[in-house]
Amino acid sequence: MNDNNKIVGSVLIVGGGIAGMVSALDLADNGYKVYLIDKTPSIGGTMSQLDKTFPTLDCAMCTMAPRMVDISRHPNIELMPYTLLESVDGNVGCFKVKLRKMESRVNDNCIGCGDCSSVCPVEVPNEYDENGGIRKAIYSPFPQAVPKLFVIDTEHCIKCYKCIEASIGKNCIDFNIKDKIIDLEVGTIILAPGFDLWDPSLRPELGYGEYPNVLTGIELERIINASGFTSGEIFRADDKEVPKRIGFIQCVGSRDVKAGQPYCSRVCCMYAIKQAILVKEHHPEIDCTIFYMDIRAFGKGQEEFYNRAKDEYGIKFIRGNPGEVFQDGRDLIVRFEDTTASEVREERFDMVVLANAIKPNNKNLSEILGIELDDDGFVKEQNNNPMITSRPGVYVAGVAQAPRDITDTVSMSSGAAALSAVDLLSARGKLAKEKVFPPEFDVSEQEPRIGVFICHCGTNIASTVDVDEVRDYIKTLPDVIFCDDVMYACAEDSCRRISEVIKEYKLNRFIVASCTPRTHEPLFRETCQAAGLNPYLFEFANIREHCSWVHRNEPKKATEKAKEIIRASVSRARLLKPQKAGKIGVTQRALVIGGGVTGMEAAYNIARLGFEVILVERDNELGGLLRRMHHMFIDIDPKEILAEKISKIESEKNISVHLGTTVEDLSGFVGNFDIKLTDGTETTVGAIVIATGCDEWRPNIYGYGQKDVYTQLELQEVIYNGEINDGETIVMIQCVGSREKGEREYCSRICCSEAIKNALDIREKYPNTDVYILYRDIRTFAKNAEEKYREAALKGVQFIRYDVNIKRPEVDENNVVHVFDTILQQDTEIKADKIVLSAAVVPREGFEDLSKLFKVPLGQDGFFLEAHLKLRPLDFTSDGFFLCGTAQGPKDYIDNMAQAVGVASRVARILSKKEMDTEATTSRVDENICIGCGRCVDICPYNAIKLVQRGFGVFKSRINDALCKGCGACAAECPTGAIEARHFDDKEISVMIDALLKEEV
Amino acid sequence: MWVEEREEGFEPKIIAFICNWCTYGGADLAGVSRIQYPPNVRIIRVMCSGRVDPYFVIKAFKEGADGVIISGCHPGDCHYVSGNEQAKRRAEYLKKILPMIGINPKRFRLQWVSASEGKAWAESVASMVEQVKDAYKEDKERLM
Repeated sequence: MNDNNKIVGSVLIVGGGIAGMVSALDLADNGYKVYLIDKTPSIGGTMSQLDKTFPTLDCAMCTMAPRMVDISRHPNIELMPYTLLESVDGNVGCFKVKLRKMESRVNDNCIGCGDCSSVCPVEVPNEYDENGGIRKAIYSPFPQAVPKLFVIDTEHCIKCYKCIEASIGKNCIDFNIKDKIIDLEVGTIILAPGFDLWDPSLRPELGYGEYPNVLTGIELERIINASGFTSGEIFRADDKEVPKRIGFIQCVGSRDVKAGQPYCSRVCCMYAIKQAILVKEHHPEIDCTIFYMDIRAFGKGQEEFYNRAKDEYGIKFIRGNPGEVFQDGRDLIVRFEDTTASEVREERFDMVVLANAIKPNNKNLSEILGIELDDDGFVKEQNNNPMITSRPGVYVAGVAQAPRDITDTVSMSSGAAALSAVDLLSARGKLAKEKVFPPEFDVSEQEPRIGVFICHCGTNIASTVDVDEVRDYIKTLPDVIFCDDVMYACAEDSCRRISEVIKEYKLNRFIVASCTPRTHEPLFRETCQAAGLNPYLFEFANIREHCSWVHRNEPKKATEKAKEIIRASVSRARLLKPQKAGKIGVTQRALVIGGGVTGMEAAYNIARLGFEVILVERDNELGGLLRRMHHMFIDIDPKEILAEKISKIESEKNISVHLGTTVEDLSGFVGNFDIKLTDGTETTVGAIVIATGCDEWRPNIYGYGQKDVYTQLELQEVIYNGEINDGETIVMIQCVGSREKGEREYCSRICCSEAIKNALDIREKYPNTDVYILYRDIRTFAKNAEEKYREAALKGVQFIRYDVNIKRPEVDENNVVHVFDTILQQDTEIKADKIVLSAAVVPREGFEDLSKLFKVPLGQDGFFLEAHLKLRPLDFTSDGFFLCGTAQGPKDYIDNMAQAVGVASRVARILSKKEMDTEATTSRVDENICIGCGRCVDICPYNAIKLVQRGFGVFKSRINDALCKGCGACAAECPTGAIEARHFDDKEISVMIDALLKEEV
Repeated sequence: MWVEEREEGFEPKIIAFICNWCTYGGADLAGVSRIQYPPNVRIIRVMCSGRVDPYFVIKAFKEGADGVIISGCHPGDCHYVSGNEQAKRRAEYLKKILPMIGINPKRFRLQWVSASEGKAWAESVASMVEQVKDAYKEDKERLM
């Protein structure tokens, strides 16, 4: 075979931030070998620097650390930190790449003990803390770093060799190590290099670099973060005083043609709001003020978050454009134009935080790879698919293509993984390895020997709970052989230590007292497994979510509570038994519900990954909402897109389309769902994707129903039919039905861009028309959207800002629009020939039925609720169910495509395996005790229990392991105690009750 | 007797059996959102509120709990389809049995808290603490 046809089953991922991590895990789980390189000594990227993430205020490190550990333990991922991409040859299927492993002077013997660093005399500003704190010349970038590898910063090392002295006998430091060139063959390449930040001192009038208390957003993030150099204490750099007033200035370098970033940086509004809330949580007395032009809270849950910032936290928002920051004594004065009062005002602060623009970091990589960049320097996408670059086989994920938040980055990263997997399908599994665990040791004859780790979680637990006191108490409990406290139990080195102590102390039970099993149990179970301990011999004690975080003002009581929680865990741990999962076959077929563009794209990509797809569409035609569109925000005819997608569906013989059909019934479970469609089809599928799309709200306000009042979607029809007369006055009203508390609190995300696009279209075709857009905030955050907004303003579209808190616009029966213009501070009347309402994007009819039938949840906004807002936007919590597109929340075509392709990668994680594990903790019947009353049969929701005849008139219950989900309802129902709910049996629960209520155990 | 063993102004200790999917998530969310609530509750995680054998509730009272909560998914939302219905049925007869064995039924509560209701969880704990204190007052008056 010559090289042109060779397909290598491996992928190079450049960049180990959240984007690269998600792509790596998806591909590795789907049977591809992954080389993950990062120019820094650790993966984690920008997300690892963050304190909490908006809008749920989840701790960034807590959601991320388990994935970092997953990566470090994955048999199909080769982690290559401190490594650069040098050159690339070849084509999709077989690229020959050269990598440069930078000179770290530390070899593979490093175990991350840090002895070297503690003796190093050189202190260097710490990049991880945005130069706030210091690090040594030999260092590991942060406590949870993966891998926990030290490197010597050759630029600052003074060659005193103290580190070598400190590590004598370990042979881990070697000053003779030079840069190393590594040659690899990979099938595809994913670029996930992240981004840079614009230097705000280029706008010297804002005082950055001149005044010590003018910071950037990411600098404040490191100060707020408990793991940062101030341990989460907020104070001024110069006089160490807690600020009383903090001002946040938005759009510093963004939306600024002069500064070179005409685009919106897309995340700054939300992170400023988040930081202001975090500041308020630390110090409710600090006044926070945010200076903004438009608040862009367009993502899921973001408008609600913005409202909470105003209403619950009392954060002040000033619509104004700060032109100058200067110091007066110890105060910083922000001089700004208050656009709602048309006057220049001044406000005093103790600290000023600048939201400096996101900048691309692609130049070098684009040259090495020969890929096209757009005018702003971001990767230019092809085919309106954000993951596709100009070079076949090279894909992009995350901010490298355009600014985006973690959620959108994660969807896109799964998308890049899916496209890579499609290219390399014929080589799937060729280079992959199975995870192998050592044989489990038999604990059945042993007395319990329990190990306990008590986690500080930085200061999350330790600032409330006296961890030392708890540790000393737990040590006194019977059977506790080992107990220690640890800074971060989930960090890679801590997990390694768990393995070590299990072996060293011959432990046969292990307890981690830290956070919630809902996120971290899989990690610790696997850690135990790697040490030869059955994963069900692990027990979790939640002393963070259920203790330290909710009793912050009662440290004594919280400490007592933590002791009792762990004491109960110790009692239960003694009784834990090993459990083993069974195997079931997986039906390698998927069901996709919804035949709009998103559903079609999802089905097409799942099919291209080698799986059969059943595509169900309620209407009699494919196309969904797109069929009603005549133009889109991106410059392509929707009819063209529709034709292309339909022909793709038709060309894939793996897809069977069921039109005019819905799902009537569903039973079974992940891997094997039995489905029945309304057209009579009955079949089995392994995974289900909900891509049901959304709808446009039918307004009951602003005169809708009167002649010449339309929605944006209806306007498209009007433009298309040429029903506009040149010279008409057209008034568009934004946020119709969206951003309304108590109704639809969310932002509909697409309407600003859509209105601007429609306005530009009209002005182009009918140059004498007057087009007004009445808006609250203009939210043109997508690629090219801000540019279109600017163009619209230049081309004479008139923007009038209204504020629902001052006065809502009104439409009278003569189609005269009355609006209070908050910028000119005056009432305005416009006689409109046409009124166009940007009506809310709403969930489709039938979401509730689907939610009930599939037992997947809807959020408060009525859209389907994903498993995790940031890191699992395409999964449901229930195994085997996935979602994509506007069924999850409003979004535009580009974001829909990222999700549609991405969901294929998520589905493949299930379908690419012929077998999967069943529930290990099913219930069991002791036939010696069972009297065959059948009460369990009656209440089992899964029909998993049957009565079987064991003799004349003798019946016994029998539980089918493949159907049982382990809820334990039967065990509670059984009148004789014959049913054991494994892992939650009567004895385990009883001893926990005892231990929680009584001191002596 | 419960009342005699406790002094006026005591801090009730409450055992909560909560389901893994909804209420445990809600209690986690209360934590993530830093919603503060009284430290009186001790959680025992079960996969489903339908797992809670009435025996566990009675045992908890016998071992000295001042209050017991069973908390699961809202009706219709049960991760295991109908486990919360079983919990409801059992709770109803528990409420009838408890007075027979000398336990004020106010010291027991069945409730629904979803994974998105962190605030509701925190409030439910606070209100249960009050409810148990009321039960104490009631029982004490009855004794006098």
